[in-house]
Amino acid sequence: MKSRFESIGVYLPKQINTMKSRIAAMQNPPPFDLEAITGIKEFRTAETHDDSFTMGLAAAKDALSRSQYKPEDLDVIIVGSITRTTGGGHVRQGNFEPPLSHSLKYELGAPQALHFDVSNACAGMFTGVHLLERMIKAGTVRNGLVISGEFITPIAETATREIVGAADPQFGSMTVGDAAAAVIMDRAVSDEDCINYFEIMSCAEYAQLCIGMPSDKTEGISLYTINAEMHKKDRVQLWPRFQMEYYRKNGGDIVSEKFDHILHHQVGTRAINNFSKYGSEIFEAPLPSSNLSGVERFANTASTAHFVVLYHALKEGTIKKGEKVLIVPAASGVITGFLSATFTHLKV
Amino acid sequence: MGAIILASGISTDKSITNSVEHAVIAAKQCIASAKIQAEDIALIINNGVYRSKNIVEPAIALLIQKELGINLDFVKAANGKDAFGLDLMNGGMGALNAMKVADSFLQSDAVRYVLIVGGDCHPSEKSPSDYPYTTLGSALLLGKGTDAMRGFQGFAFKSEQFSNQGRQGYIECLNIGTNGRNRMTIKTDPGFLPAVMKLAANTARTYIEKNDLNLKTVNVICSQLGKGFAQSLCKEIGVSEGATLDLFEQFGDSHSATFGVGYYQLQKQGLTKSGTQLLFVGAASGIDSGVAHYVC
Repeated sequence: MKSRFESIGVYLPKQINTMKSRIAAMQNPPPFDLEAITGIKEFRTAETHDDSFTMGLAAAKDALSRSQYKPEDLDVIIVGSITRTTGGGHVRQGNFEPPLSHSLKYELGAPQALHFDVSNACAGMFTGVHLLERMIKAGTVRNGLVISGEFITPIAETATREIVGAADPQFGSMTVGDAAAAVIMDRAVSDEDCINYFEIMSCAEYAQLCIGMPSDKTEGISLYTINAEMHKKDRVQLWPRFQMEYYRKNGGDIVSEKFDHILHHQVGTRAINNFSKYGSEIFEAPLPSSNLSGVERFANTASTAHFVVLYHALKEGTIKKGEKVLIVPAASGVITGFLSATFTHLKV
Repeated sequence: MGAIILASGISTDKSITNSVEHAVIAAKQCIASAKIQAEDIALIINNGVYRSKNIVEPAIALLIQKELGINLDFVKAANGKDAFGLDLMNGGMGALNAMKVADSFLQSDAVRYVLIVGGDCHPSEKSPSDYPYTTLGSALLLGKGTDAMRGFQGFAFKSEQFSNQGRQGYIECLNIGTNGRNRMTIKTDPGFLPAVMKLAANTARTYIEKNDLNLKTVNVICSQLGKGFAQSLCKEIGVSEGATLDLFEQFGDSHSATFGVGYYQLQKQGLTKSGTQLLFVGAASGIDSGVAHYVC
């Protein structure tokens, strides 16, 4: 039995800012061209009244607007954002208990749904998708909604205040933008729209390479990443080796899969190209030349990044009917994996 | 076939102030007791909510995975085995959600073993008077069952809306200065405990009636939200007070670790003999409630 993405929704705050303006706000600008390295030209910033809850809600409503399901039909709602802020404005708070999924399900009108949050860095939405896919396969739920509202730009504000020197661990924070995404999943009705397979793993040897927590230097949340280690060739190549092992056990290979597009985590244009290059070396085969990207426009929107790009690729017709996409999660942990999906009727 | 609990472990040393350390000790005890190879654990779910320094990334499950040494690098290990860790957060009853998730994974043969760990600590690793939870850890190891009459038989979850969500635990994003790594605000609505007890009791009673369970033979492991909470909840459900363990007296409110602690204690007392009917009954902020029905 296979599952599918039955609907996808996105919310992008209206406020557009530029990387140039973010760099200009830095107290200690770097000696290198961050815009050129990352390829990020602009990004969205949440409005003052926005938070993880309001943004996630908007994305969920967007997904529901094109779904065959009504809120009261949903069996489970999973929230997978890193940020779990509510309150907006001057009473904004980061929530640990209860989960955001509780209040979201009531706001959506789905009180019957089982709810819980998952937290797994930039793989939070994929974690929700993974759990939901296995639950649908097991028949323990029929469908579900995975939501993430990432109000993540405060880490960039902290970084602009605190970065000192070219090797500062907060440079990764300069690459983020705000966005929310949501997917509704259910049992696939044909191979025309389905998740062909999805595997994900955490290689916890590298769990401490990227840590997010409140800053102890200035007021704000911060993210400390050892980028050189996180995106090292060996780390990136965990993914193709994992995928090859899957093919060894289950049959198939990267060539015969004939993927039309590949979708990596949106950490920067150079990094995205490197991911495919490093992957190709292990597969000993070319990967799709269509490397879906939205990082130039939206920056790295954390756990929503792949889904924001997927949404736009479907909407703008980059992904055509019947095409197959290889989606590669990547997150702190280190988390990696591969999701093969075919899209034909999914509307945005 | 429903998943079965293969082993349990707890960590209660009061000198340990970090939830990861507690979870690791509990998990090691659990894995040793099950006599399995740790590398065969493919899913690690951490239910802990409150953590040292308010770390929000990576998942705490991965810090635990690292300390346990479970499939740390897929390439270096070169054994074809992988693991996936995640934090599943739902106040004090995330463990029940995790049991349902684990049951799904095991039923669909997606994994061989699932490790569920729980445990909280105040971000400062101290115990301020306004922090209501005890710092300890627990672990449960689940595997695939082979007997339809044993293992997890069913789940039920029901939530309600309530004033201020009953209880809220949060950090202020603004006006917190540079002390965010040590701060946590926990506010409890005065009506939280009676309301959530009523909700949990209703959820349990409905499950019992729907599945025609014998009230006289059901044992209850439940949330321990305060002194006497477990006994009062049992009374509300309609089972005798003797059908539950009073964990609060010994451990206080162990929050996300409670169900693991409860199962461990039951096992230790020899009360998990084959055929024993167990109801895990959760009551949490939101407000939320859940039941996991398990036959030993």
